[in-house]
Amino acid sequence: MALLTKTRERRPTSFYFLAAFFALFVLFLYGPMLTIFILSFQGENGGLTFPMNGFSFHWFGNLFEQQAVGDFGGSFSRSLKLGLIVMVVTVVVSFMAGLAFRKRFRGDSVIFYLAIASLIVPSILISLGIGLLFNIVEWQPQWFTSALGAHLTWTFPFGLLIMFAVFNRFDPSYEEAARDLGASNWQTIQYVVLPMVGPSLIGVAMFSFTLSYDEFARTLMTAGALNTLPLEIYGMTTNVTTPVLYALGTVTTGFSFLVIALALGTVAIMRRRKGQKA
Amino acid sequence: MASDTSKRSSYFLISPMALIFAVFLVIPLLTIVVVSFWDYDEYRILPDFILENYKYLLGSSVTWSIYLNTLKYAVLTWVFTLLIGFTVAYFLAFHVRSLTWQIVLFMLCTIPFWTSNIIRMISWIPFLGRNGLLNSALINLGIVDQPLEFLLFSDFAVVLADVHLYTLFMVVPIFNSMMRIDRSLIEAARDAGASGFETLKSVIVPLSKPGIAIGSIFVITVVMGDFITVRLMSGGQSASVGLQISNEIGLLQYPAAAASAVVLLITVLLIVTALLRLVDIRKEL
Amino acid sequence: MTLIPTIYNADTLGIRPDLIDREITSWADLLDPAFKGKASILNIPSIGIMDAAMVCEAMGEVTYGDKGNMTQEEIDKTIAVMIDAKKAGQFRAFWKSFDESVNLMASGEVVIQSMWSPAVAAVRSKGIACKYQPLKEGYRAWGGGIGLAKHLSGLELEAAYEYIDWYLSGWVGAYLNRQGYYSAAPETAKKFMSEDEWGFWMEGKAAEGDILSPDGKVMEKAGAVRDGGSYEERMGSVACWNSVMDENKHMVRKWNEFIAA
Repeated sequence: MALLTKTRERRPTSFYFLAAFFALFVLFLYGPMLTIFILSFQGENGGLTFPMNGFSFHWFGNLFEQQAVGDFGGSFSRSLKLGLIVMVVTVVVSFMAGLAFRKRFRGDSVIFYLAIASLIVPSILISLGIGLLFNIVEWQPQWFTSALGAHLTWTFPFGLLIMFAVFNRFDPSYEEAARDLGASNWQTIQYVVLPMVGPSLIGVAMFSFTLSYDEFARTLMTAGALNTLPLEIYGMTTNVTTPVLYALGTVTTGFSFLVIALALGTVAIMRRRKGQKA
Repeated sequence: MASDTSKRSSYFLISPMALIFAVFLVIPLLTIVVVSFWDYDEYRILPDFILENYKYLLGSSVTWSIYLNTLKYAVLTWVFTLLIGFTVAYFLAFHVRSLTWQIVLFMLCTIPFWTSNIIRMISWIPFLGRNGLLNSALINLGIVDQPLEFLLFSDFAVVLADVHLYTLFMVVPIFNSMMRIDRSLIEAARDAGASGFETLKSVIVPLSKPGIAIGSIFVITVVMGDFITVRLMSGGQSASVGLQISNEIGLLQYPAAAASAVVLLITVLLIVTALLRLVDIRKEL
Repeated sequence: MTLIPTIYNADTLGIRPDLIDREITSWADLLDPAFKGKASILNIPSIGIMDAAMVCEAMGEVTYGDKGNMTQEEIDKTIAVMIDAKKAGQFRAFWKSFDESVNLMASGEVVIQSMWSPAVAAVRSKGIACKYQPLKEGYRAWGGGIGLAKHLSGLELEAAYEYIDWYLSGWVGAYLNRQGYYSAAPETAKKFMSEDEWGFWMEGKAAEGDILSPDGKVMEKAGAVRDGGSYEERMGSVACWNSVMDENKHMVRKWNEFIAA
């Protein structure tokens, strides 16, 4: 009876109001990107703002040429590498920390509050602090040392909090069963814990890559001589008068859509195969 | 003995994280505190112990107006992200009934975040400018006959860009809290004759508090430390604490920047401590 | 610290003649209420304060002993005038980099602002009218150079000297001149420029053919004359030079008050 009324229940009026609100929100998120999309097709002599000065694909080609200011290729590959390193380190270290936090140990609350502090300390302070530290001890800041550390202070808290959420809901009886069957600690982790928390670790991986890939303020004083992509883009907002930046925005957004479409497509295909097997 | 080895393994497991936090969080913050007492000239920082940096900072009316301005941005952004974020989360949690649709709609909101924040921010400029899309549209529709000037390079533009960038950070934790509300509580409220609004007020809002608190902490701390949005969207006409620090860094006045940083850090910690009294984060995950 | 001079120029106000329907003759016009919400000034304290001083002096608000080295009182008065103007909504934005000034002007957000000569050229190369307006009070001039870092030695030092020699050997000078700057070694630069280019940029002559920007775009059509005229006319009416003042720290703090106001 309850089920029946639920499926038959008419949508309340509030649903339509809220749905309209949600649609407006999505429009708000995408709206300004439309301007970028249009302006990336500016004519060769066009500027950063309206009016359009002709129509061309010039700026997309320009994206792959040597720039007067800015180096997309180098900075992109550095950002990609840095993002991947941050991703791997964050997954491994957060997973280890998550395991550690399942038992109480001395200093656990210190680490926990450090993680919270790391989350709320404004990014520019991390940048300034690490920059000063390296300056004083006369180490050369590099994207793979100081900037890597700066990014980890940003991704660890998220990794740790996600691990908390996972292990809070984790049923320890599976591990006990494995141990009763004579599995070693390592085997228990490898064959029982890892497969169960695997999806969340993928979440941590994606999250930390995205955070690092787009991180700006923490990289500002820690990247050393070579720029990451967000630094390059920031430099270009004040040092470029052409729509090449918009072309970059259009290309990256298009690329994101492509990746997501591919991912969704793969999931759909896998589901169908599974369905056929069953 | 067993507890001894398990303790040792806990320490082993936590040590990489502890080490990174020590080197890249604790020591740098201590460095900032130390340097904030140093002296400087045009080219160098000079180890010393002076209070001049703080004296000037706290004695200057500029500092107070900058803090007020930053707080204004933080409060306005917080109010709007909270109202919008709560409504969106409420819609997704209680009105979208299938998990697939919830995921699809979430994805829809997340895709823009894969484009650089800075590019998304500057995309507002041609939209809101004097000859921008919005003004052209308003003029063509005959709604206004002069372009609206307050749209760009103004407080309005700063808050708009902040809300645009950070609302999703409010949606996610609130949605998370809402999904954990036992649906039978809502039915019970309805059975007891509560209207939709009363249910919202006395059941859903109180039970979403942890999510609201976490989202608020995130949004407020990000806006308090922000400098790019203010710089780009106010056309360089407004100041914020983060911008002040980044300007001082640009002028190589590191000790002055460090003193500002310490004051900012204390301010943010006070705000967060107040918010944490509302919620025990560790329990709520 | 000694620098080898490489580059200098004289700056004035840039305007959009298509959006301004009267003659601009004085620095004081920057704060004319007619341009409310359409003016801009550069937000680099050491240079911005000089532009502000040119404006205040032209308005008759402040008199200066030496604009290149102002007293605290002069600085305070200048900033007070600027803060009043800012509060009245005179400014649309402040710019920090060359390209920001180009974007503000090209988009029409700003119609009058302190501007650098090559920025005016960059706006024009987009097909937008923009004028580097000579003013009756004269120009604000600046210079720059390159110096050697003291830790250099051996091969590095040689490389540095070689770089400076190359820098002054003419190609760079011609490149700078073609953007509207003045190279500090004009004779070598001349060798790398055509006679027509030299005539247009340095001698105030009408261009015989199209004048190209360094990256090869047409910047000026044949027949055009450079705003402000020849080198002698321009540098001959310089009113003040940028310099680091004795009251630099005070000035930067007051400037920050202006920005935060």
